[in-house]
Amino acid sequence: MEGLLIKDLHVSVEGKEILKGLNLSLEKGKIHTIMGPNGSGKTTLGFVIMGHPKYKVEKGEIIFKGKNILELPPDERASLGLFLGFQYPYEIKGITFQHFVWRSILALKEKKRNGERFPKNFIEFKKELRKKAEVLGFDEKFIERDLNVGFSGGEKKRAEILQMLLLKPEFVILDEIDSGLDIDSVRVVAEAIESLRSPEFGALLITHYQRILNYVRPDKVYVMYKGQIVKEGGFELVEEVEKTGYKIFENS
Amino acid sequence: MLTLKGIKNKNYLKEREEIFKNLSKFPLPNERYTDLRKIPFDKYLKIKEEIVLKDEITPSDNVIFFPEFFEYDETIKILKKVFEEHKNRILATHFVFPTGGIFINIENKEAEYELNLKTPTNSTYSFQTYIFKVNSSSLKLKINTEQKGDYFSHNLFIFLLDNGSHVKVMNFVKSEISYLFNSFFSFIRKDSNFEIYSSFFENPYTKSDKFIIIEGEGAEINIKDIFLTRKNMFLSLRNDLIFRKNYTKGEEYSKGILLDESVAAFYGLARVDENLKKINAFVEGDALLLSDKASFLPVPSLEILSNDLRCTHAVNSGPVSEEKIFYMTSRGLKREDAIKMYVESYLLSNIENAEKEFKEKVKDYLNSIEIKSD
Repeated sequence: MEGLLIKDLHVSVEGKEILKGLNLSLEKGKIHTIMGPNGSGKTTLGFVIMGHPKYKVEKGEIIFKGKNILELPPDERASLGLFLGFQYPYEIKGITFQHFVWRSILALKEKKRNGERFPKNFIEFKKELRKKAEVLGFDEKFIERDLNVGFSGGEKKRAEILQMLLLKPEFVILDEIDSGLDIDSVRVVAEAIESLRSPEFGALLITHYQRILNYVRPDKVYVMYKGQIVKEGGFELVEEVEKTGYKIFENS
Repeated sequence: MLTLKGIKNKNYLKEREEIFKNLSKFPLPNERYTDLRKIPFDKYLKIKEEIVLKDEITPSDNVIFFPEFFEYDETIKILKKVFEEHKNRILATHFVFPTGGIFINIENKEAEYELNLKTPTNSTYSFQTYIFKVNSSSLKLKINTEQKGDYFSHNLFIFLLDNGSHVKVMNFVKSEISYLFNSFFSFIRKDSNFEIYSSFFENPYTKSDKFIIIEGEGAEINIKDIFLTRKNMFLSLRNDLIFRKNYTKGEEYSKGILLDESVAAFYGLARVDENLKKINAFVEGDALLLSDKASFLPVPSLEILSNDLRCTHAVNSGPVSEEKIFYMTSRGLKREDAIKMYVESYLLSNIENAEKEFKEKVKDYLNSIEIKSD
């Protein structure tokens, strides 16, 4: 299978097991959604896929492009084409948004990922940045401001999506990208994700609510509960969860 | 107790102690000055050459070089004023063993100078004094202390600002000498504004003291220090803001990175005299510790004798944020590049308003060294 394959994943943090034998097969060319209550392990899953050092993988594999990526540091996972959109993007004072993204592109170019698809120089990059920012309704003034510093919750999320568009990943994990966004912004962000839909692109949306899924139609939906996938299905599962909540999965 | 690991040659400490012990036996400064005439002329020229002034000096600048420096009434008056504020042995030594000095009087003009401080003499010690008297003027001053050698150096900088003067100092320190000690005494008078940006790198043992006496209404002072210490370096930063007039504002913020087994101490003081109003004071010292063996010793303090004011002080220190590094690496940056970028941004954010050239020098230095987090 081409895409992201997760096999029997057990993860703990500070001695507490969070993911308890999770299995997922996330095909390329499709948009997947994981829903689940707070504390079910959704954010942990995103961090572990990207290689957060705080989380300890006790057992299992994460296969991407035919490789078990668990031993790779985050930058090498990014250079393979993975991208994680953070639920709470960090503020970094002293580094402007555009400088950070350009440095990230240079790092990815150096590792020869998507070489030909990245802008050749800073001027070309700036043009692409402006164009994509405009589409997203991301105010140009933030481009030259320090990364996420003084951004509202919604601006931070748009900034994450803008980075995603510029870094041209092949598989993205977006952790609650809709939280903090007003309804118009949800639509803009959803359209940006939909614009990437192609046989070469895959996405995993982590969310609590149906709202964004009205605009990004997921091909597959998974419900995560207490560190495991307890149910999977199509869009009808989203509607079921909206109606019943997560309590019905308690004894799964 | 701190050990002076950075001192390469312990004899200097011993020699210094001898000097201090015998200080009272030396002739009074006035008598001593006559000896200065005996300095060979070629050495005097050498001292003069070490001070590079960007602008052409004209007679109207009233520049007075050493040794005439110590025979000039106004210089003596200013030095006495400094002594009245702060009696200590190191200042006294500037009278007894001066190796150089310069007095610049800037009136009703805009000036830009650059002081490049290198090894002034072949002596094992150096006591240089620089006085800037600025009246209704604007001064941009770059001080580059890039001394090398096995000796003790104390640079005394004195600034007197009056009548709406504005002075902006970019103080870049990257020396490799046994013991570097820089003292700044600044007297800020009516409606004057003093900004000083300093960066401290490399020197094994450095002490920097700034005493800012705010003695005119409407005066403002802004001190921004950044530092990166590594190996066995020791750095002591002391910034005292002394408020003596109403409607004044003072801010000092020191920010640094500590690596390896280095030690940095920060003493930040805001002292407000009695019965003053509308004072705004801010003192903060922050550090990132990139090694378990490095130590940051912050001592911020406020001595407040008035009520109508706003004073704040804070200190923060801790390791580099792994969460932020993860965020950066998740976009494709290698860990070491992310740490370097983070460190650079951490330091540069404190000198945003400094001149571009100064910031470039800081960046060049940071790019020239290896920065790792344990």
